[in-house]
Amino acid sequence: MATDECRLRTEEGVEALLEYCAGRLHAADAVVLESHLAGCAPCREFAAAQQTVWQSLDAWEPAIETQGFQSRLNARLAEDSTPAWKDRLRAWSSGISWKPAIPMAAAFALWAAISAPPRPEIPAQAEQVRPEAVERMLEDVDMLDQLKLNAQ
Amino acid sequence: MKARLWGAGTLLLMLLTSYPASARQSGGAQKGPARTGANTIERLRRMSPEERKKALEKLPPERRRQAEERLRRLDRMSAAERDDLERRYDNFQRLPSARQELARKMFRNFNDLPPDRRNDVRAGFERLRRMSSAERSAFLKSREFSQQYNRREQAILEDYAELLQSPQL
Ligand SMILES: [Zn+2]
Repeated sequence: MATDECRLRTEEGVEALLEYCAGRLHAADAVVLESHLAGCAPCREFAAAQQTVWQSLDAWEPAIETQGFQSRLNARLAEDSTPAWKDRLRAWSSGISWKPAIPMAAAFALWAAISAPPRPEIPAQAEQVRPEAVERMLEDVDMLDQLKLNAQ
Repeated sequence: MKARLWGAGTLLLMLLTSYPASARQSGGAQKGPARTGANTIERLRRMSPEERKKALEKLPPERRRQAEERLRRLDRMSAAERDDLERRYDNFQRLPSARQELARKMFRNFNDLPPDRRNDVRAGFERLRRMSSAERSAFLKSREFSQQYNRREQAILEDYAELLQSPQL
């Protein structure tokens, strides 16, 4: 995809933007996308709005989390865009005896933090914007409900 | 065995807390292209009363009241209705932002109408939804349309018809 072709024009482009906002776009693709974002206000606006949605929802995540750590890790390990470190972790954890795990965990946590993909930096004043983001989600949902937009 | 589990638990905890939040967000049950709005409604609905209060308390009173009412409406829906709405919310998020804004503007104008006029306009929405694109443009130019609705209502219905042209909707 050309750097200057607006991502909002194609489904594929929108998909890439969404992946980017979720922090899942591969680094090389993210660089290309970021150079487009630098020159395209509609895409920046779209990305910032998505980021706001994510941040708002993430703020509630700890309180409504019902899955255990293990299932969350399993879900993470099973993600399709598996970075190499996850493969290494999977191989490593399948053969491991957990006894010496504590010092290793510290080292591993550091490694994971360093090698994890970077979070996209999209300006969004998370603290101030949260109630409005919630309000907007509720408004959108209510609108789709009441106006039967895209209902079948 | 206990120590073993504890060691494993510590490792997992450290991994989870050290991994960036952006990646953590995508680690749940949601998969595939439905990620944007995935579980949005479910998450909104599952907020505890305390969380609801906290999320909305900074809003001006009238807007807060409206948001609370909208949450209650979600509470009253059946699971099937919520699923359907979840899917539509997801599609809506994929519209270009200009289309999304058009929809929001139209919906606000609609909400500002007096209740009895809202019912008439709602009937108009229903009618437009069942029409083909050609039938819609004919209807919007018709005498019936201009006699049945005032200028403000006509503008709302015209926006609605415009939105129905979006391929995602
Ligand atoms: Zn663009």
